[in-house]
Amino acid sequence: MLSWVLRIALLCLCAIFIQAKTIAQFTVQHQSPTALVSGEINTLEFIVPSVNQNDVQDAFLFYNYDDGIGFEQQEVLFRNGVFTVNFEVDEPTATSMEYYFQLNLRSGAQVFYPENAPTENPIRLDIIPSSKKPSNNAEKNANIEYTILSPEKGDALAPNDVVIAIALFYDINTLEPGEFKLFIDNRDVTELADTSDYFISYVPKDLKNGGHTVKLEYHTDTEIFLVESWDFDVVDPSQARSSDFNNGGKNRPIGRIELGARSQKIGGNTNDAYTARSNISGQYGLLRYSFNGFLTSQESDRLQPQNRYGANLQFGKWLRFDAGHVYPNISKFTISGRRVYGINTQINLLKDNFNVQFVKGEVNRKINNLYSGVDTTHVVNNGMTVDTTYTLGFEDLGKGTFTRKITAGSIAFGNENKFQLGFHAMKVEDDTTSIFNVRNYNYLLEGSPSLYSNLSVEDRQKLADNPELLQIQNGSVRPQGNFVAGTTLKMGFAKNRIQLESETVASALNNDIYGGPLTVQGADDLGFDLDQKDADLLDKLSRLIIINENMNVLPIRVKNIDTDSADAETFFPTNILGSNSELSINYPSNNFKLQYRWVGPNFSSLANSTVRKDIAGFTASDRFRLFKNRLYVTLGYETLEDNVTNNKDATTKSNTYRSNLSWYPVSRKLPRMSVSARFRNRENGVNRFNPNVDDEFKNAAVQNFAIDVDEFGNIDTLLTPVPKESITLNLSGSITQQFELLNIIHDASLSINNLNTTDNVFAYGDVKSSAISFNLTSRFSEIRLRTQLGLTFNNTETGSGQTEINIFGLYTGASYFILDNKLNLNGRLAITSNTSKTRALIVEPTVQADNTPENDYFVLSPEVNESDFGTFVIQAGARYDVTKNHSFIFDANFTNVSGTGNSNDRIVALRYLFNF
Amino acid sequence: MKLRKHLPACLTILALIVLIGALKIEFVKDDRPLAFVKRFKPNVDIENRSADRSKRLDLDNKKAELLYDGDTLKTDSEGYALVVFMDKSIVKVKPQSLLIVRGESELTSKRSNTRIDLSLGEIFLNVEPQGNNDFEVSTSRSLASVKGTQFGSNSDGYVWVREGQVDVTALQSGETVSLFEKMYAQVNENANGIESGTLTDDDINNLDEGFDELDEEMIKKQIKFRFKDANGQIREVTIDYYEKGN
Repeated sequence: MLSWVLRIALLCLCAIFIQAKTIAQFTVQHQSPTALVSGEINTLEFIVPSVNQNDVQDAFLFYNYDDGIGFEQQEVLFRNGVFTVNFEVDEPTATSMEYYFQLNLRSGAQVFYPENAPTENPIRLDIIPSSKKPSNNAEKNANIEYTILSPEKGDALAPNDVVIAIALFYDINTLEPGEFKLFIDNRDVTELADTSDYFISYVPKDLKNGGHTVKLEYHTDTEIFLVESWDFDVVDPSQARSSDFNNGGKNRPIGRIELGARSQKIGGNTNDAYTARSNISGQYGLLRYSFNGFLTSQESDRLQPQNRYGANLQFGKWLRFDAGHVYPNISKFTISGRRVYGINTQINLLKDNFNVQFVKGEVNRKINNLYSGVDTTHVVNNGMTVDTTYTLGFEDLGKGTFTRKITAGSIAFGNENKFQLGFHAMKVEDDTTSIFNVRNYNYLLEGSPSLYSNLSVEDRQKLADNPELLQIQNGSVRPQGNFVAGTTLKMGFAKNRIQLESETVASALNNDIYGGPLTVQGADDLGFDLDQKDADLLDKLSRLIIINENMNVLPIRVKNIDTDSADAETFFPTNILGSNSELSINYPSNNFKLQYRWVGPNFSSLANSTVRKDIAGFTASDRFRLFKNRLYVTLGYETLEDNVTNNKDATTKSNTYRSNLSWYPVSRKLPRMSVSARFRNRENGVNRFNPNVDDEFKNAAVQNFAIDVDEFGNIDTLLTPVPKESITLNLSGSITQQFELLNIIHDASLSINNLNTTDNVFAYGDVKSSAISFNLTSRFSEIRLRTQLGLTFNNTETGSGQTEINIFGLYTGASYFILDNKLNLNGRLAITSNTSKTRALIVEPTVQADNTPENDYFVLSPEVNESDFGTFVIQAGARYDVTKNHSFIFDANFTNVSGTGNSNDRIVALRYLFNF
Repeated sequence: MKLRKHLPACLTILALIVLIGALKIEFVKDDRPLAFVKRFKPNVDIENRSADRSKRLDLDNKKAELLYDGDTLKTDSEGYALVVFMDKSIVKVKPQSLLIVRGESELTSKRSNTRIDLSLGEIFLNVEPQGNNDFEVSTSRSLASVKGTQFGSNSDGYVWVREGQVDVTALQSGETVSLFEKMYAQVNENANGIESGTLTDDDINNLDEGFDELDEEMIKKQIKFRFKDANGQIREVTIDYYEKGN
């Protein structure tokens, strides 16, 4: 019996021991405050080491006032390993409070503080009144402005991503002394925050998931002002779902559709136009795609395409495929952004060490010739028709264009940031079969009989006998062919801050590829021999370019010309070459560039007509920043000359010096200024000399001569090219000042530009131009209104009085946002007054009458043509964003031209935009 | 006539005098921070030689790094930074970028002038439209003045606009163009000319690439369930959830 009692007792002891041990795992640490302050938030913290969220069921603070008979309770939140309660004494008359803490664990166990009989031995504290009498929380100090930088109200952030930042704005001289206090969930964290007079930031550690409140107060000796209080959420990212079921919505295409209608009356002609524009793009993993289209009712087969559409596919950085209307860029000398209807493919592999590009399509589409018929003109002498000419005319704007096809490609080895060597080639050729193109009477017979129905039988017979008698108005359209090939070299050093880039190309241009490549027979007809081997070579080369007698430069040189043994040999003409080399050194505060170019006079690219030909020389520029990047200084020098193949009688050289000083201070209290100077001299080494003209008119002489003494001492007077020697000085400057007036921010700008060219060898080569413009842009503080007022004055005299133009312009405009920025109203009024006087440059009539051109000289015609006209333009527009996705845009424009060529033009347009 | 002849020279001299006088005023130091680095990864350096400050931001240091006038922020080949300015404008900085923040802000009002000198790399900005603040991005070629817009800029003078309006000035010639939504401008190497044009959505997407590296905001959303209870009455339960968004 005893043993059973002992066993039960032992079990009970063990159970008690185990229970005690379980409880003993958690001990509560708590530092009770000295007293509780009435009217303030009192933060009580209870720390239970080693407890984690999984252990916790809930926790409570039990309290009563002035020895009450029971305990009220308030839940205590577990935040960052700490049980925290922000306790506010809600009994105004209470003088003391008792409390204890109870933690309920998921295991069913309970942990208390105080540990022993807490209900019996609670912690007791006195309640003291607050030394500060807080004002109404809603009351704010009007002298304190602030901007909540982070987090925004209602933000949801990951626990490690919470940054609390507030910028403060106040006048320290008018604000009552005090200090800012930052609270998170009513816990004063000011001590932990990074505070300065005008900025407070705090990065809380591991905030608990859920809602939190930030509160900023300003405490003075007597009052507490609430600056702001706002809430945000902390969310564990792993508990947040993606915004879409398919890769965060990235797979959903985005796009824009725009529909427009426009009614316009310009130059008395009224027409309406309707347009539709769309862009759709999206992404699926590494694959990106986009489609764009533009349709207009103004599409016409008499013009190059107005309707444009295209598609783009990209796979990572390795593959790009464009189709439709594409804008390829292979090199500066070949094609650089010109529109092509076709495909453009780029492949970049092996970390951009292997790069291929291929382009195929049409540069121009065909436009058919519109012939008006054959005009017959009889040449009559003494009442008798002695000759008849036949001219096939075009309708107005009826001249056509061939389909111009392009095939181009490039291949480059190496990364351009380190070392890359590339080769590229481009073939551009007109499709001779693409349009009906009459070249002689025989071709005309293939067309509509109505074109020649007016011809008599005799005329037809005459033309049939000699088809070349039929002339084409301004000549028939000629199909061209072009081939450009070259190499590129690119190198990068010092993390690509130093770059060297060079391109050298050769081109060939055929101005008429009808008839194909030159043959043995064709050469014979032209009067020289071409052996079959060379003819076969030309035939093979015709895959790249058709070479015949219509080349702008023939790679064939005829030897022993005008003899029986005239023969041809091939050679390489250097005037078809083009080369450009650039060295760039780009450091943050200094950019230096040195460029050398050499382009022959016969270089030609039918896909890029903007390359300046017959030019060679260096250009150097250095731009650097000083005074903390406020001051920008640019110095430049350029020396260029033409006649690079020495096929002209004189070489024009020009040297240009440039400098610019720009001051862009950050402070808008200071003016922004820019001053530029450009000095250029140009001369071709030909002296002004004409012994037949009086010295007074020497610089106005039509012809120029030079005295030549040959090796035998014979003196001769030779006609020379027109001498050139001029100096140009261009000074310009601008100044902008911001100021505040009537609570409006104004930016006033004044710009002055003065250009003066003095021609030392031609009396009518001077140019003087000066322009002054003033602009005032005003931004209103209270409303989103922006206004603009501008004045311009421009006086230009060219040709030493040949033309004088005076322009005065005034414009004013405004842009105004209302309805919560959904509606933007804008308008503009512009008035210009234009006065011009022109005098023709004529040969002095009395010297012209002697029929001796050697003594001719220019004078200004006494007849002055004056022209005065003014324009008045008023434009009004509005944009209304119905929703984020739907908008309407309205524009109306009325233009009145008074004086010479007076007219009234108007345009009214409405567009609808849909973004998705 | 004489005055007209010498007018350009007089104006030049006058401008230089004003410029030199302005130098002193310009460099009055303002101790107020202009911005702070809200997020970054992994290697971002802050330097200010004149203030003898140089540090690499530490991911473990839970402190918002403040940027003052003249501070240089540099990202390495993998570094990103998200900088918040005092007017709430946000600048996202791509790897291998170097920028200097400059500016001044009034202590008593929210008005401020901010300029980012972008020496290297690429940034994207979301500039707040509020107030009359001036926000500019300068490179060696270009000066982009913005107001309430989203746009990007690289150090080679390329500026593109996703939303709003940006005025781009070529620093040498002073030529200015206004860019609107989905437009770009490229200031040439001599800083005296600007080429501008329009961008497709695809271009915008390409330009946007990489700028979302530090976007970790989550958007609070609600989902509502409607059901009939035992009494046949329709009841509605609302559940909050969060989406990862940009």
